[in-house]
Amino acid sequence: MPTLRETIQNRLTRLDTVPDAFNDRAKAYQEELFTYLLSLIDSLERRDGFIVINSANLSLISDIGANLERALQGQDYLNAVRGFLGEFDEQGRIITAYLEGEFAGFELSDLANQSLLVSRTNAANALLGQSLKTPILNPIEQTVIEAINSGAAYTDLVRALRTLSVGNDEVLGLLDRYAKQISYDAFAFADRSFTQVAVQDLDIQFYRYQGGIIKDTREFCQERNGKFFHFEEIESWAGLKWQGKIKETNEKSIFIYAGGYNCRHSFVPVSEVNIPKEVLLDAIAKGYYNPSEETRELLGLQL
Amino acid sequence: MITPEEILEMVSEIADIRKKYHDTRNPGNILEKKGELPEYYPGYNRLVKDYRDILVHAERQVFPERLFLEKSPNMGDDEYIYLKENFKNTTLSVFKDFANSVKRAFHEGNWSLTFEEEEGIYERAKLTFKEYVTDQYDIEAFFKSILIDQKLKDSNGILAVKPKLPVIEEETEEGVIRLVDGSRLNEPKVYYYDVERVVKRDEDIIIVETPEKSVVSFQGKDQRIGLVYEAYTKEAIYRVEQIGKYTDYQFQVYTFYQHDLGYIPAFTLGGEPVWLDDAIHYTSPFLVAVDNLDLALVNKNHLEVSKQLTMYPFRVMIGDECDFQTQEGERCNGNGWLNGFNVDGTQYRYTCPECQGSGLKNRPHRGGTMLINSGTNQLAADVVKPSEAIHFAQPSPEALRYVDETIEKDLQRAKETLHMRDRSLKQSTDSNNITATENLKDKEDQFAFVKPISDQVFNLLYDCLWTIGQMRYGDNFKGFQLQKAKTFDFLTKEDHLYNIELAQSIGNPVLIESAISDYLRFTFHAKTDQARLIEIIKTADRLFAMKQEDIVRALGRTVEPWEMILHNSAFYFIDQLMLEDEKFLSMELSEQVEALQNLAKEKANSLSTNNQNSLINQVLNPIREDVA
Repeated sequence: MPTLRETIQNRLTRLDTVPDAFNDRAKAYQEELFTYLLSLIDSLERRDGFIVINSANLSLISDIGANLERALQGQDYLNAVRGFLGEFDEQGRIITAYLEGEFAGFELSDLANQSLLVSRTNAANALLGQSLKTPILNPIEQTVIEAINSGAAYTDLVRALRTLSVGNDEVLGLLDRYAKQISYDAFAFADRSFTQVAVQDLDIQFYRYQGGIIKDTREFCQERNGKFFHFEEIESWAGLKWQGKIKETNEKSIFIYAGGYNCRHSFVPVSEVNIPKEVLLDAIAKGYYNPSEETRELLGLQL
Repeated sequence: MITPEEILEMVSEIADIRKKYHDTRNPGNILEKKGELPEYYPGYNRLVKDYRDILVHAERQVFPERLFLEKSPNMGDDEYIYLKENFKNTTLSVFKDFANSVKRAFHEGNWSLTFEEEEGIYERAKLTFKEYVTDQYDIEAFFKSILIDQKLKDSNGILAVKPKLPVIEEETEEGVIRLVDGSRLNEPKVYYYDVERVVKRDEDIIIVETPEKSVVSFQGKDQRIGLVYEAYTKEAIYRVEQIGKYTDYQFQVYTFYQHDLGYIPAFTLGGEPVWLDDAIHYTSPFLVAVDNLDLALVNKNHLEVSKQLTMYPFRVMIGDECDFQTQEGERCNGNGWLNGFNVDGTQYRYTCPECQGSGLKNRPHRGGTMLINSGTNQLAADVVKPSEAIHFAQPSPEALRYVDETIEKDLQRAKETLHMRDRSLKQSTDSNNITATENLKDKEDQFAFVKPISDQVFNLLYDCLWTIGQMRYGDNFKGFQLQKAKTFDFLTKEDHLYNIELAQSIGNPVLIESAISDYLRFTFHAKTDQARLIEIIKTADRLFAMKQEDIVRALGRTVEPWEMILHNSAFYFIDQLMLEDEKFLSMELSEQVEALQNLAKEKANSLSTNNQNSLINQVLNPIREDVA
């Protein structure tokens, strides 16, 4: 049976590893997509290695677009998305296990499960169908159109499509890039939303800002990493400015958005009995925290 | 004014003509003589023949005896009976299609019938005129569903308007008498009499032989076989009943109803006028197709008989005389029967058990083996080679195929004379331009053909309604408004949408606009400003005159999905907008265009959302089951 500490660590680690796993599968799928794309453009009429400018080739464009769209609904990709979304439930279970251990009498509400469902649906929406049109399909289609309209060399078109689809040393492939943009934030938002809804009846006073430091950790997160804060203090951060802050961050949503885009940190609710005394006293001094006499006595905070 | 005495004289003359055709075996009925009925007036037999000729193709199981006997005078009795018992009316569909194409002229939006306000106007009336003719008798349905068919079959039949008088019975010293109840209104109804029953017709009087029978004396007994006529004049309706002895042909006349309308309340169904022996009669527009249909019908039924008799292979075999012999010495000798003897010594005949009555030795053997007679000299060759001993005879199907093709041609010719459009032919043409032009010409020809029929039906409807109103309410009758169809459409909604698609594929803006205009007229009828609707569509739909393939090619680049949806569904959206807001057509053009475009955008989003939701469900559902 893992300790609470191990549970928390697992939760936080997964904020990286789960999206990483999905992104790897998406990246691998790019190759498959590129191979398929090659088979689609193979039907373009060519002469001496150059694409012929004619209506037959132009009329193929919508076919190519439609087929690519279908390819992005292929079983391999759908399975990757399905697997990723399945991890949302596991994350919910881990958070629940922690909360049950940390807070006596904690019971998970239906509302919390519903919030997880909403998060999963939003993530699915972002990773499937129409949502892929702008970041992935349109650039590919546009490249093909321009090649046909200019009578470009077929090899040039293939090269351009390879860069778009699979990427190279300098750029990521379109699907890889998009998947990364979506997956980390989708998973982290789901984690934080679930937590917030789950504890809304517990009158949580203190949170610990946890997630670890990585190469790209922003300054905002570095300064706060591992520390305990009263919720009112956290709310006050919404008024600050920092790089990567999500525009819609406010006193309430900061518990969801945390440090902003790609932030791998979470607000972990902590029972007052497990908060270091100096943190409690500091919070009282700042005026955030005003425990009752009973609580003071319980926590050993006699002034 | 025609007096009752004059009417009696006319009926007596009619009866004199009729009595020569009296059916002695079925008194009260008449018998045709050499295919002829009593010639009540010049041209009567010809008009009846025309009617019967059409009936063959217009009603189920009317067996055209004359046709088959005339065309195949040497046909044997067996074949004739087989033909009659297996007769199929294969040309009925042509009449039905023709009648249906005429009925399209009575599409709801093409005409209207409105009634004057009647509250408190008619004393003693429990029903308003509108309630009487629609709820009580549903005259509109009668005209649309029944009358048009009858008119196309029987141009010289008549519709007579006759009131059912409210009667009360009163006990008097002389017994029970029936009197007209003045406290209630009479109930005029429309009666149809076919041409065979119309025994006199001129501008002053129409006399019909009704199906009713009066009681007369015949062979010493009172029998209900006497003739009953009705005479319609400009002043009254008379009833003429046969009385006394049947063979005396005596009649009595009395006034059934004094209407004093100034016109005869009986109207000929009408058709194409024809001058016959100094009088105008009518022929049905369907009659022109009858000759070709006759050919098709007769040939088709003969063809079916031929198929049964000749299309299945015959087994042809060498046969030797059956030489079966019983133990008692009785021999078949190729007769197919044998003599037997009863216990009392009397003789009887029975079928030979070996040849089963054929008189020939049974071949092949039961096991299917062909037995060839060998001669006594077993070294000699067989008299008959096995390969020649049996073969299967089957006529070439070419002749029957030729007849089948001829039948189809006759049917097509019949349809062409009726200006009936056969889309299946048109769709096989090579050039879309020819199809569009042919469609236009078809439309014009059909209109010219059907318009007179439509006018006649509306006139009949008007006359009947007016007469009913007059008979029921007299001078208090307020009348009604009957708006006849001026233009009408023979195409279905699908035909119109097909034409629009065709025009769009050609990319000719004039053709597109014409096709859309026709569709709008069909959908919104005469009540709507079609020009305005076209203007709205042309302004809202940037792709109005674009070819479909160009639109598809440009989709997602220079053409948005909502624009394509608007282009393909503008009419449905207009329908919807008009239903949602009755003021839609009176809005400013810019507002109308915006409404139309917004609806298309909503649809595009909804479609996109539906597809997206379906995809999401596909991915999420297995997960939900696990969590549960």
